Order: sequence, then C-alpha cells, then structure tokens
Amino acid sequence: MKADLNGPFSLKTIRRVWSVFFVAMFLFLLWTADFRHLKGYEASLFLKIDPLVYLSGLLTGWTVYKGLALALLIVIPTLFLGRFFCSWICPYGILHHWAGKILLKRSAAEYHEENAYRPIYRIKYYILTALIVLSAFGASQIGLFDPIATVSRALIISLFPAFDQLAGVIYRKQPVYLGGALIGFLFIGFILANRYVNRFWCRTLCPLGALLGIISSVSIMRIRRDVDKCNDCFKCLKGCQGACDPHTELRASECLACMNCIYDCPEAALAYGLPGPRSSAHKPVDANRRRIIETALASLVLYPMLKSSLGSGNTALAEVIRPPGSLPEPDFLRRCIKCSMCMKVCPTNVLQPALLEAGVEGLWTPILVNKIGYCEHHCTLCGHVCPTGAIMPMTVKDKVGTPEKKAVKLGTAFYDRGRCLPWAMNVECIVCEEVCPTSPKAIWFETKEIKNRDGSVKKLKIPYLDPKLCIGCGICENKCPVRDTAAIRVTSVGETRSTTNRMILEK
Amino acid sequence: MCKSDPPFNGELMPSKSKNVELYDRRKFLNRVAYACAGALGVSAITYMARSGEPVYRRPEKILTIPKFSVDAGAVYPRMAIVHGKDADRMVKAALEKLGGVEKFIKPGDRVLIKPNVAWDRAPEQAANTNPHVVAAIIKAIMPARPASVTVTDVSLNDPYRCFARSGIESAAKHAGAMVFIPGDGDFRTADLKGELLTQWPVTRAVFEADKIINAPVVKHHSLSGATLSQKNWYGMLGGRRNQLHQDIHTSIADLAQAFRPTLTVMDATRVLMRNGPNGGSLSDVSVFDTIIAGTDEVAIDAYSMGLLGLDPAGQTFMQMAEKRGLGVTRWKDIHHAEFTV
Amino acid sequence: MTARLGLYLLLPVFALAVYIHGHRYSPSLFEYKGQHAPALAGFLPASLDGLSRDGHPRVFTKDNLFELVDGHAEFFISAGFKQSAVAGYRVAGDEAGMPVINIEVYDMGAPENAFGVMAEEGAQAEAFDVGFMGVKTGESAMFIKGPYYVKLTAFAKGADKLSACARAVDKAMTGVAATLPQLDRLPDKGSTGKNYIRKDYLGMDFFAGVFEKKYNRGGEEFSAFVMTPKEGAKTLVNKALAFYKQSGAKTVAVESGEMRGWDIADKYEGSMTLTVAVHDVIGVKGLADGNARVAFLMETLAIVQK
Repeated sequence: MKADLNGPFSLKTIRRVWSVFFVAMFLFLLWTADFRHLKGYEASLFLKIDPLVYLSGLLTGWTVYKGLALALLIVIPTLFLGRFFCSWICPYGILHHWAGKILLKRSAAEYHEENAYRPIYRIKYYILTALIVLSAFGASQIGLFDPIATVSRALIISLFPAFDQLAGVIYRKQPVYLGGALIGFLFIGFILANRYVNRFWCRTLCPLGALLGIISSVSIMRIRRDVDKCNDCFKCLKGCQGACDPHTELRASECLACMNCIYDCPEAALAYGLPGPRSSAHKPVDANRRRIIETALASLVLYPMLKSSLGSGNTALAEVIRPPGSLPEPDFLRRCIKCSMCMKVCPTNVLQPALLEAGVEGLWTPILVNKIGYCEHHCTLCGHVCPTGAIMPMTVKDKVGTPEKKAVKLGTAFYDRGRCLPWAMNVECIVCEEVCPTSPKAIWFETKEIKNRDGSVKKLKIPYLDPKLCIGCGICENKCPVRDTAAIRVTSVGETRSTTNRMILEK
Repeated sequence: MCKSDPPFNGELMPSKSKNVELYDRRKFLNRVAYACAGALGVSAITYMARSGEPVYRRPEKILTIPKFSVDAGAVYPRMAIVHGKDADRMVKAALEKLGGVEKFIKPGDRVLIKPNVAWDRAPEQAANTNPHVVAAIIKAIMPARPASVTVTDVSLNDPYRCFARSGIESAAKHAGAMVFIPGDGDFRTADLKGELLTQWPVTRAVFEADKIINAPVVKHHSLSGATLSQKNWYGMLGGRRNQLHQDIHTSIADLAQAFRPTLTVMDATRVLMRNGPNGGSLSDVSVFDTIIAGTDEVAIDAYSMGLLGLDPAGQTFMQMAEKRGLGVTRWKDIHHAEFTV
Repeated sequence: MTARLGLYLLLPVFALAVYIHGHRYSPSLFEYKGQHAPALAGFLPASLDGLSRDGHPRVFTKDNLFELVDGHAEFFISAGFKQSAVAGYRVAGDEAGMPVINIEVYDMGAPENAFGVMAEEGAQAEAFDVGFMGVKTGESAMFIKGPYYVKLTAFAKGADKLSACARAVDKAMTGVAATLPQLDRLPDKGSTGKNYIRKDYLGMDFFAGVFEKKYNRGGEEFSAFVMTPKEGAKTLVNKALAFYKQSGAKTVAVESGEMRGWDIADKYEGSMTLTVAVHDVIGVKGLADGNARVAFLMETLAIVQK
C-alpha cells in the first residue's frame, strides 16, 4: 500500500472538515427554527436523516412518513462504508469527540488501555433491542436515547436559553422551560463522561450507533491492517475513537470511521478500503445473544406495564393540551420523539416538555402551559418542523377555520368564577374578552347592575364563554390579571383531534 | 531552612516527623502584615455593606413624561378631516392644512411615531394602523429634516409577529424610519401623575424623543366602547397593564393627560366595526377612506366615534378628558377643515 | 485522489441544496388574509348628485339585519345574505333636513342570489336600465350588479332624483362586474331582454333556476336559456328526455362536430334543442328550423370554450 500522508487530502482532514461543516449546519438549522427565519428551511433535517427515527417510525406507524425517507441516504452508504455517520455527520458524536479531545488527557501509554475494547460497550445493543421491541408494539420511546433527538432537546431546552441568560443574543425574550435543569444536567453529565471514557455515549449507550454497527457488519470498505507490515507497537490505539481494536482483529461494528489510526501508524500498515491479500480478519458484532433475548423479553413485559399505567394514551387528561395539528393521543405518543423542535419554533414559548403530566410515556413531549404563553392564532409553525408527523403541518387557513370548515380547537376555556374579578369581586375587567382572537369572539359579556358593599349600584360587564366558538388558544388565561392561577383556564376537553375527549354535543 | 533529619515514612507514621518550623523575623512580619491587611479588608467590606435592609436595592430614578405638544397658532385649524384613497396625499394635505409640517417638526428633532401595532393581524383586518398611513406620515415629515424617525409600540401578541404581519415594519423601513421593539430591559419607571396611574414602567423610547406623533386606528372595543387616540397610549406602558381594565375610563383619561403628543394622525381608512380590538374577520371591517389629523385628541376621538355609531356623550372617558381640559367632545365647535383629495 | 476531492466538493453541494430548499416555500404556510369581503360602505359616497350623505353608512350583518328590515330578514338570509350598508341622503347644505333618499346596498354573496332577490322584490315594477338589471316604481328603484342588490327609496321631494342617484351609485360600484356568469354563456347578438325564472320554467318542475335571454335576429324572435342544475347537467337532461318521451313528445339526438344535443318537440312550446356544456344545460326554443337551433347552440359552445 502506498503511504497515506497526513495532509489536506488525508481522510482524517476530510473527516475534520466534514465534522465542522455538519455541526455548523446543525446549529444553523436550529437557528432557522424561528418565525422570522424559517421560510422553507428543513429545520429538522438531521432528525429526518436519522435511521433510528426511520426504523421506529416504520414500526410504530407502519409508514415512512414524508421526509423520513431521507434516512436511506445514511443507511445505504453505511451498508457499504461503515459507521461514517458517527464521526463525519452526527452532531452529538462530534461534540463528544471534541469534548474528549479537550477533557481527556492521557499519556501515550494510557491511551492503549483507554481505547481498547471493553465488554461494557455491549450495553448499547441491549438498549437498541429494548427500544425496538417496544416500538414494534407501538410504544415508542426512542426519543429518550436517540442521539439527534437528545442533542436537539438539550440545546433547545437548556443550552441555548442558558447561553442567552449570559449573553442575551439569541432570543428577544429569553424562554423558560419546565424541567430544563434536568435535561441540562444530563447533557453536561454525558459530555463530562468523556473525561473518564472517551466517547462514552457513542461507545456505551447510543442505540443509533448500535443500529449502524449492525448494518456495518456487511460493509466492504473498512479499516484494514496489513498483518505483515504491522509491528505490534499499539500506536494506532492512541487516537481510536470507537475502541474497535485496530491493533488486532478490528470490530467493524464499533469502528467510528474517525480515520485517526491510519495516520498514527508509523508503518503505514493501516488503510481504509477494500480487503487486500494480507488484511487482518475482523471480529463480528459483540453482543451476548442470551442477554439480547433476555432484554427483548423484559421489554415485552414492560410494554403492557407501560400501557396499564394511567397516561394520556388511555385517559383524557386536563393538562395535556397538545399543539395544533397533533394526532390523536395514542398515535401522538407513537410518533413523538421528544426532539423539542416544536418548542424551539413556538413564538410565545407556550410549548413545554411535559414531565409526568401525560404519564410516563409522555415524558418530554410537548404540552401547552398557558401561564407561560399562548397559542398564537395565525401560527402553524410547530407542525411544519415536526419530523415524524406527530404534529401534522397545516395551512393557517385550516387552523383558523372558514364558515364551511371548523377551526382547530386545542381545548376549551373555563371560568373560575370564584377568582374572576367581575364575577367574584365586583371589579370591572374583561381583558379575556378583549384578547380573544376569534371572530365572533368566544367570550361575550352581559352588562349587569350589581350592588356594591356600600349599597351603591354599579353597572358591570360580566364575561361568559361560548364553548362552541372557543378554540382553546389560551390567550385569555395568559393575559388574565389574576396572575398566580388565572380566573379562566383552558383544559383539553373539546379538542378537535380527539373523538372521545368532548363535552358538547355537536354534529 | 530546616535541619535535615533522617527521611521518615511520613505516610505511615506522621507523628514521627521531626521537621521543625524555622521562624525568622521576615516571615513573622510578613504574616502579621497579611493578617492585618486581611482584617482591614474584611472590616472595610463589612462597613461599606452595612444595612438595615437584607437586600441592596439601587435607588431607582423616577422619570416624568416630557411635554411634546406644539401650538401651531390660532389661524390654523386644530383638526383636518381628509377623505381620499391615496394615504400619502391625504396625510400631506392634512399636515399642510394644520399649518405645515415645519410648525411641528424642527430640523434635528428625534421623532417617535406611535402607531397601533398591538395585534398579530394582517393589514386588511384593521386591528393595527394601516401600514400605508404609517409610511405616509414618515414621508410627510422627512422634508422637515428630523435627526431620526423611530416607529415603536409595546405589542400585546408576540412583537415580531405583530410588526411583521401588520406590514408596519417593512413599510417603516422602506420609508426610511427605524423600528424599535422593546425587550424586557427597555422600560423605565415614570410617574404618570394621574388620578389612578402613578408610577408605571414606560418604554424608554419616550425619553429618547423630542417629538411624538400618535398614529392610532379607529376600532370598536367592548369595554371602553372604542379604542382611539387616547387609548393608544396604552402601548407606551409595560408591566401589569392588564390591570388597567378594572377602571378603564380613568386609566384612559390618565394616559391622555400624561402623554400629550405633538400631533395625532388618526387612521380611519379601514375601521374595525365589531369584535374589536383585534377583530379577525374581514366582515368586521368597513372602509371609510378617511384620515383625521390634529392637535386635539378628544375632538378627533369624538369624530371617530361617529364612524362607529357611538355618541361621545355616552362614553365616560371622553367626559373625563373634557373635564380635565384635554380637549372638546363637540368637535364641530372647534376650528376644523374637511375636504377630499 | 479524485474521490477525496469529491468528498470535499460534496459539502458545498449539500449547503446549496439546503439553501435552495429553504427559499422555496408557499406563503400560505405563514399567511392568511381571511376571506375577501367587499367594501360596501364605499358604494355610498359622501355626496351624490346634489345630495349629501347623512352621517356615515350603517353596516348590518346576519345578526342585526332584523333591525333594518324586521321579519323580512329571514327572506334575505335564506337567499344568501352576507352584509348590507345603508345610508340616507339629504339635500346638500340642509344640515337639519330629513333624508330625501334612502339607499340600501345588500351583499347577497353571489350574482344569482341578487338576481333571485330582485325577481321577488321587483316583480311588479317596470324595467330600468342601470347596473346589470334594474326596475323602478314611482317611489323606489332597485338594481343588481354582481352579487349586490341595491334598493333606493325616495321620500317627499326625492322622487325625481331617483334615477340620477341610482346611476350615481352604479358608477360608484367600480370593480364590480355587471354580468351574470350564466347569462354570459348566451350570446349577446340580437339580445332584447333577460329574465330569471326561479321555478317551473316552461311548466316543467325540473327546469328551475333558469336564466333566459330573448332574441330578435332578422325579424325572427326566439329565446335561449341556461341553467346550472344541482344534480348535474347530464342527470337533468336525462330526466327531461325521459319525461318528454313518456308524455309522447318526439325526442331525437342530434350531433354536429363537438356538440351533442337533443331535439325535443314540446306540444305547447314548440321545438327546442338542449345540450350540455360542462355543468350547464343550454337550450334554445322558438326557432322552427332544427339546423338553425343547432347552429345557435354551436355559437354558445364557442363562447364557453373561449
């Protein structure tokens, strides 16, 4: 083999350029997820090319929904080229790679222990098994472990707002998110884990990496070691990202295609490509078959347990107000991968990651918290950025409704007459009526004559709600002057996406 | 320097360490000096931070709203009602009738235009000021060579959406003005000196302007009957302004008393007749193709109420404003001009 | 080497793809201006032929129409009423005077609805050429233009100003097409009058909602009609043919070029020929010569295809 020198056309340099490019593109697309910048940009592009989202979507919905077919652009090359995605494209993986470079400082001798393969790295295959089995039965929880969904969520919910807290450049009004601290801790935790084990997430936990690893088992382009040239110096382990043992029989399913080993080898014994006459053998995927079966069975048992616990999928829950265009709840839980793109794009910051409001399955799925914001009447951005179709895209006209076709309702507002200023305290208000966006307004009022405490008479406008017109947008709750718990509150009943969560008899 | 003793196994038997600390004068004085400096420092910090209050609060300066009104002179009408289809010509003609724009704007003035950009609506829905009218005002005052022209409002819906969808942001920028959208930190506490409204957060744009032009739109409003030029000053306030509805008429009168603009240009090209102040359906809008400009906000509001079919005598805030001497409700009594271009 | 260069070059290709995709989007994603509503108040100008408008036009919708027309509101609403604007006009300069002319403009939503309303309201009046079609009596005038039905009522001294005011309002209704799409299907040449028959045209209950144009060409008088049946043009023709066949009238299919029609010899109305044009049924009667009828129908089809 001709010696491949480290220069501008070395695979290592090309990989570095690609990694910077794709992290930049990922951050750029996150930036476009905003009313002012979205235009037609595919803000969820990385989620759409994610093969794990594709697979899970296929299993839960029996469909390849629209843009998810882009995942083939990753799957098919991986079949031939190996896990190039992990070091060349995946923004989470690249962040871990950079974190490892900064945090992990070991002497040359220690790298050999550091980057040797460890049996614990099998865990990601078990995680993948559990997630796949659950998805096959329709309980999709891949959002918890999928790397792209995780990094999207971490950036949107904790990192960007935290950065804005300091520098104030990203948002006009800094958003707040429920449980943002927890997601932030997890993110920092996994990044810091690179201090102890390089690329801890990628090697140990990433189910997408496991999936691509399995697919790479048949790849023909791999790292090849010329057994004659090799002098067993172990220098190739110095920069190895995947802990794939390039110094012996390389594990193709673990190799992250970082290309570092090629240029660390003083004998030019390593190369990336087709097998040569003296190329070393490769080890197959290392996962204990027994453990896989055990995990699969455990997930099988977990599934009915999940479904038996009270959650939004089997009960109508008042606090679970979903974004406009959402699928009915059982389907929604099948499709939502908790990527938080909808929360990024929402102009009023009303979409929040649920904690346990929607049950265990609904962790980090979007719900409306009207105290923080409200659903802007003419806004349909959330549906346009949702990669899996949990929130379906629609035109503003469909959302607002026409005389022929009814508007989309998220829920219904209810007066708390014990807290409402005109109702309970004889004080003039009707801010709710003023801000109600429907025409005719869903909130109307009656002018009544009431007696004050001192006996004098006053004319007061007292508000009422028309449930047939109310679209549940929540601006009344958001602008109600009774700040702590508003005197008019929206709950999910009456939502158009549900056939059962209704209270008014209508055609 | 310490006397060297035989090396000892310090970890296993630390007490057997026979190392003695050698003190010399330099070291002693050094230490005393550091200790005294430390004591002084801590005492100084303690003295400076002493307080009967648990939390330090920077004394906030309470500002007052500057006066912006200008009197053009009695020979000119105080109100000009213009009918027509071309906003540019209408505004220009109205200002000419009132005495010419030079009477109101002097060269070097920083001018603030305050349209109604409160709602996330399209121009045809008449929930905000017509963007053509805003552009016309900017173009009409440019010949007076102001130092800067800024368009601002404190919106109710998301401000970026309001300014974008109302068309006012692009209209203002094309006409050569700047657009100022206040963030959380852009409010200053001011004393409005009203009967009900005393200290309120007010957008800092008010304090950075020499002249203010009020540019409201005629709309129906369930609580106050109509929202016109006096109620437009609502958009200068921040904070908990959703409490003002509890005494809306006094609030409007207080606002009209605190904010006296140089000029008011009322947009009655499209009027929101029902379901105000944010409307939504085009069938709530009526086209009147009229602009009213003047220096008497009460009179302008009285005329505009006629378009909505309301009687000024029946609206409390109008009576209050007249009683306070802010203007006249019988607009026909003042020197006015009505014409078509 | 080329493969490696290719790897680099792929990056700007991706960037370009993302950028181009980002700039191709449909505005309906973000915008919705609402359904078009007419500017009714603009049709009632501030001054009209020496009269000035009393105040500003009052606008009425379905909810408060009864304030204007009491119980008659039901009729309008079931005929498709959307909105109306009303204003009174008094003699210019006479500030305290009473209005002498009252003008009401109704938006009926569609030209056929306006047509239907006028057919009911103006049944007893003489024809008056203003707008698309008009009628007038001594004290009132009404006309239709596009989807609008305009009614002028005169009080006291206003009667002589009726025609002039009606024409002035007609002129103020700029941008409104004074046509009816169905009647446009029938040629103008030789047309002497137009008519709308709500039901039982030619005594047949299946001929309803019919627009008719009368013609005089070279001394020969005949008429043509067009209707857009709800059940579909083909279905209606089949129904008509079945009826005529059953009652013994002779029906013959005719063809000429692209046109496929049916000759029917009605006992009372004479011969007529029907054809189907997209969603409409077009017919011509009163011409004795079958070929002439076919030629006329070819003329109408030429208009449709334009």
